[in-house]
Amino acid sequence: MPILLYAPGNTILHKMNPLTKLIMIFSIWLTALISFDIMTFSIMLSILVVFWILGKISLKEIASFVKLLSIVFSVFIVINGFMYFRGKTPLFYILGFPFTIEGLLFGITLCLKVVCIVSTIPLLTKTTMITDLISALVKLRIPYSLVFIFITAINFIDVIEETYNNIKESQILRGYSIDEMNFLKKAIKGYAPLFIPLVLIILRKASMMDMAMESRAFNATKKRTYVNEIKFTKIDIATIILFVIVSSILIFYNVIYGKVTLILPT
Amino acid sequence: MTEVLKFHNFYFWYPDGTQALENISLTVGKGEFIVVMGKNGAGKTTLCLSTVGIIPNILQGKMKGTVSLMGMIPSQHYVYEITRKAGIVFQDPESQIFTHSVFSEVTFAAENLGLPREEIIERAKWALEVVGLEGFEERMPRYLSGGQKQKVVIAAALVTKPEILILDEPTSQLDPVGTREVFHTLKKLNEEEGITIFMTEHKSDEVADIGVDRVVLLDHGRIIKEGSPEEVLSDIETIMRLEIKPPQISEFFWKIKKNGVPLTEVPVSIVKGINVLKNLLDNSILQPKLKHSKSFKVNRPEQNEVILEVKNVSFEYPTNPPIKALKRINFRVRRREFVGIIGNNGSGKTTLMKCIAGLLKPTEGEILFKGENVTTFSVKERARRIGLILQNPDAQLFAKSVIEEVEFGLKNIGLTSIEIKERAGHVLKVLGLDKYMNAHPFQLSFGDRKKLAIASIMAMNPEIVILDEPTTGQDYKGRIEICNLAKLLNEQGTTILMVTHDMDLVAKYADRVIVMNEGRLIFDGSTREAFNKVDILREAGLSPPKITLLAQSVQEKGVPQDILSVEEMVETFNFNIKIGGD
Repeated sequence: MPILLYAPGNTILHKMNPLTKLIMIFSIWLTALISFDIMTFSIMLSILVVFWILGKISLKEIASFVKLLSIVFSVFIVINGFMYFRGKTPLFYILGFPFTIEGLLFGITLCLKVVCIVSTIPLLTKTTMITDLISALVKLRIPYSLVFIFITAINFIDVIEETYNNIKESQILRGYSIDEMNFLKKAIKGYAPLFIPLVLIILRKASMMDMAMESRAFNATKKRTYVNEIKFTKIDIATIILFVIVSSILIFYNVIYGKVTLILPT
Repeated sequence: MTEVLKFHNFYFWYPDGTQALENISLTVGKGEFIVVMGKNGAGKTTLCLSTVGIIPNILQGKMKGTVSLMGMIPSQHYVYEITRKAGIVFQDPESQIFTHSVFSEVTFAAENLGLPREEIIERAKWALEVVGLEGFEERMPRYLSGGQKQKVVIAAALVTKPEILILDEPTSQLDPVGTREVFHTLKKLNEEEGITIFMTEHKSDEVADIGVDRVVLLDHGRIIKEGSPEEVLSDIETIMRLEIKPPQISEFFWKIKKNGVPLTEVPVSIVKGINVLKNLLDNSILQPKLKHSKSFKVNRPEQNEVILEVKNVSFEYPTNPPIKALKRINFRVRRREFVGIIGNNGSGKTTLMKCIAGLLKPTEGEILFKGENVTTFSVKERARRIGLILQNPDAQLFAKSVIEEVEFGLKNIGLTSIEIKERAGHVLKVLGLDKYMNAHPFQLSFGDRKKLAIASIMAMNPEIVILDEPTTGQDYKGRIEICNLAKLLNEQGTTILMVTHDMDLVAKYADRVIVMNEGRLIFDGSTREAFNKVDILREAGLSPPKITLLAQSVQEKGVPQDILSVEEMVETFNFNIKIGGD
């Protein structure tokens, strides 16, 4: 998924400490999860948009990702518009069923909540090199081997996808098209010609990687050096302070006005 | 000379009992550049893995005798302890790259060893400089070319400051440009940094030219011959017997020597070859025949109908930003033609073939098979008309037996079971795979797996067969066998398109050549013409076979420039042996 892929750059966000970005994401998630309030989400979103721009994350990609979620969002809004149990003020009727303003607002709030949570992710993934992320996670006392395995697994997704496509093409060339089969046939035996080579190739690749890792002294010593030194700069500190303050105010506001919810309001 | 690496009566058996190495005794001195050659399965990789202790520490088996690497016995140490003394590089750069930037890739091993940070940075800078990748620090390895990737891997192995670099067929996945880059880097490392190089390789023409210290011939796990390249690579008889590709220059001189031309020494490198040939011509020991030229057979079926027409085809990968892989390609192929499509990686060859086979739909233009647009065919219809054999045979083999593998395609295109049995049996016989009929595909050697992949396409009897880099990872014998097979199909009426970087094979087999560069078709004409246009080839990062270059270097003496093979070159001359000898 391109939205998760690192894009080289030299922006403030690229230079920022990955830990700062993690704190940023965490504070947004926390706030978004426990509140249910249009204003709260709007404030957070406007801050996020600023950071998207700072990180030069192209608006096209925002659009493509909103498009991706738009089906889900319309379902949210339609269902809640008609079904929201606190809905009182009808906006219009379809077949005698009222579509309520309260339901509409509820649906929109729900969508904003999702957008808030999801749109933080590219701030980390698009602007952080994996090596920096590793250093940061290791700083958080997560064992290096674990972090490395996790990251390599993510990288491996690309390899698997590419291999799978090659295999699919090879079989199409032998007159075998899984896309032209019906559901039952697909499920019974359709995938064998695709998955058997896939598993074998992946196993072979993995054992090659194992040898290559050994010969690059992987896990040689517990005192591994990290060339990437991650430091907190003034920008980092300012960003952290900003997010902590904004989140605290928003959470406080939500507590005062009784809008605190766990995930969804009851 | 201090010894860096020493094998002493070394034997190795894999757990299934196959003997991989037998009585290996070999000493590598400090600063030497040694190349081990041998066909696939000769034991080259096992030899490399034994030097760093991956054998027997990771890949287990039974061993006898000793290996010592700068006083260490690799089997008694962890692999990481050995990496401080020896760097190892494998074939496929992809599976040796772990991080997301060139710089972090290079520092990886040193970080793992826990070296001081400042020192790592200094070493990494040095390593990138010696492989010629300064300025690439922040680049992502996955977007580099094959040669650059392999150079990143070499730099990553150098960061522990090893005294010896061990490379297992480092160029086998690379195109000619990448191969040259890697060879030059190794030569430079050896000469300027004094690093000992121990590598295995198939590309004998390049080995002959780069000027190594020693060549070792390996066969069935045994050392058959070792010595200076002049000594070993001129022994064409042994080389041929071991199914290794003889360098064209030495093969030519060996052949004329057999014809009675007095030569004290058979030259192996092109530079020496040119000198010797000039001498022979000056002394009139060799005389170019006057009436020979253009008598070589050109097989262009001009009168046959056009079977494939590529009209103004462009293709763009829908990435961000989009990559223009093909730019307005036009050409026609007549039935029974044998067309070689050459160009470096990234020139668009494979994309073009995928468009022809209907796997990709051109963003512009159209591809006509006998006047019908290929995109209108269903998958089954296409498979019966155009057969494309992709690079990696393992991406398609899945059945329980060889025969079932071939039958798979035939079932898909809906033949009757009698027909299926008949065709599958026939194809396997033609390819010499019938003895493995009931074996599991993965029990076959890589060469045979490739043949099986070809068989599974051939059985469907397509009118056009496209081979995409059929010789990648194959040894000399495998390459010749695959090409002979293509030739056979061609003679039986199939139209062949062969995508390759292997200039010798194009020269030998293709009648017509299409040269691609950066998504454009930059040349389309007869093979002879193509190899005469050195500037066009150079633009595409290619170069003619060594024997063609040799002929071209003495063109002022009346030698034709459009020589394509060693045999043709030998035929070009009259031998004036009586005068010779002084």
